[in-house]
Amino acid sequence: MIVAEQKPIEEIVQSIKPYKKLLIAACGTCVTVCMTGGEKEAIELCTLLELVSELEGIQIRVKTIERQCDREFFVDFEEDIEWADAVLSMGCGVGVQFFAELYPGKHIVPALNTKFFGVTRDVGYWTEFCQGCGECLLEKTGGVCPVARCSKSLFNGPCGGSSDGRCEINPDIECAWQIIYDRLKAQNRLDLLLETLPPRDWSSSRDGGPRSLRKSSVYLEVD
Amino acid sequence: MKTVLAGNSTYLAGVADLFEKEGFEIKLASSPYEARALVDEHPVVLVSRSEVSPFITDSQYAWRLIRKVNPLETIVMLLNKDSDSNPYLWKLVLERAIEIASGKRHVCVLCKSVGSRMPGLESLYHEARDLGVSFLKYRSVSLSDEGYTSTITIDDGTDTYNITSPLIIDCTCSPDESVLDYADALRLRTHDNGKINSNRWFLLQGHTSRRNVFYIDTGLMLSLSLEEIVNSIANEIRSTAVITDNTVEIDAKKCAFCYTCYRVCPHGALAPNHDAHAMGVLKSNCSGCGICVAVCPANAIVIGSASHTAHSRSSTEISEEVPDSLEALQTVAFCCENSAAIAARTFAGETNASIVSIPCGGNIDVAQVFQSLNNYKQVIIAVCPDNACKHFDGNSRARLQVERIKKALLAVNKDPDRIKFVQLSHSMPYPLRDALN
Repeated sequence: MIVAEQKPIEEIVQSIKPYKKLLIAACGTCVTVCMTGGEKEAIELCTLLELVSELEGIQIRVKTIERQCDREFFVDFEEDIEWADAVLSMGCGVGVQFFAELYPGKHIVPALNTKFFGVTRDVGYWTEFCQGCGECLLEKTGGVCPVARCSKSLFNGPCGGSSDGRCEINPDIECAWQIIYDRLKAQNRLDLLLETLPPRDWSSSRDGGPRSLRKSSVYLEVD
Repeated sequence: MKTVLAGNSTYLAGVADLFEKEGFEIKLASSPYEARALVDEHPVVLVSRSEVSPFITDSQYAWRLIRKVNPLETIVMLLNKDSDSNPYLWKLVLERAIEIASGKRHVCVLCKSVGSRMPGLESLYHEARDLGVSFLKYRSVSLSDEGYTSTITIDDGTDTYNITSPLIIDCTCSPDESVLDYADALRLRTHDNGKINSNRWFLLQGHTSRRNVFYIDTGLMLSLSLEEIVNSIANEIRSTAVITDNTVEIDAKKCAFCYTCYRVCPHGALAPNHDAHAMGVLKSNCSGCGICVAVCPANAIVIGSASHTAHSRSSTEISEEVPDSLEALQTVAFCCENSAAIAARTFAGETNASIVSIPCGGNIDVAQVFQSLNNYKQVIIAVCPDNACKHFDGNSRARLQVERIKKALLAVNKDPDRIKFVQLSHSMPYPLRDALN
């Protein structure tokens, strides 16, 4: 799941100040689950913005677009988008950009800061698990990703900063290599750690530039 | 009426006989999984047997020991050596300490923490203090025997003390571990962020945190006999069989299936409906507190139409009552119906504030509060005192929301003092009345 958090309200107010008709577009998928950009948050944000004196006279509509990363979900909201001077998108970075691409003439304002791909640890608590680096090596590390969960993305860890199972960057962070060791030990697979993982080709990650993916079995190329 | 019995198999048969005498049809669940599969349809009675010192369960045994001791010596009751004791055990210990102290003996209770999460514990504690029972909190403890007397050394974190006594009773309860798997499977909860932990206080004699799950500890029988406990549970099962209208409903089309409601529900009243790819409600468990309504990020949950709750009622009330001039209605108070709303009735004629009853502090709707700030000068959120929420943590949730609202108001240059948070019980109207004035 993509995890995000709401931008400071001051920043949102500054960016929507010039507009008189605002559409707040909630997104019904990841950001709903991480309690940041769903319908509830959108309505709360709307009622808060109505209190702001700088925004006096602003008209606000709130709509929930089920997935802002798929174009078909926008169809039912054409009229609202047309009506608005600007759209405050509560989608993740993907949703905001796709919105802007679909409606290039419209000012699409982000309401969230997109953080990471993560899991729900508890109600209101999420942690990062994946960086989408494009080459998964979890079978070698006991199902714990050293790229995303080690602060230094070490492939052959831990580093000297690991202490009592905590990371030197921040003691709130668990040392990923401690978890890897503990898990492989419990599974009697510590021999996996004897293998030195070679430096990898990061072109599958961000180093190769923005990535795209075409599934050859379904993607029909049109000239 | 069908009822499921689960738990410690040694003691199930005896309890089953008693329920059959009450006219119940009994099904025995042989595993936690079976109990979980049946709990949505039928009430479940969990049977266990804790091992606890006869000193606190058997008065005659206790006095036989006490009489052997020189009346000038201190009798030491050692509690929760390893983990927190459940409040039921605390109640027993306090009652025994009061009994001994009333017999002109000196009692000292050693404990790790003094909790009062159970109604009545606080007054028992004060009664014990008044009778001269001393309470000492410790971090770690060690015992040594020296013939007639024993010495107990306690460390409270800063100092160590030695207490010498011929009678040191370990009152720590060894809970029946077999029942923990059942508690887990049945999703019985504690105060502790909705998680099951080792202190097991969610298991009180007769009751659990779920409305249709009951608990019998055959090791902690006291003044009540097993027959009497079974009878009281049987009566409760008969009365709760009537499902109230005051339950929540989930719009499966809007539900994001995020499990937030499932995790926060204090009554275990939400269960996934995988066919519908949405959360479902177990009407027999739902208490209509509306905590799930407040946390649902998809706005997919409402409290049933027959209810008299904030989300259905107050919105209409506010729109009807918005005055032409703000002077007429300056304040709106969202009051928990279990405490503040009852307290507010005592001064109903004296205030022109609008009192809105909500089913629980945890049901506070932030958007509604923001809206109210548009129409009213002041908004008051009035909920139950700490540790006294009928729905476990509704008041704590309300406090978090109020903090969040204050921060948001500050960020948009509005006065955060326009929202006030008050905690009071149903019998103490003054905090609310003061806040209103």
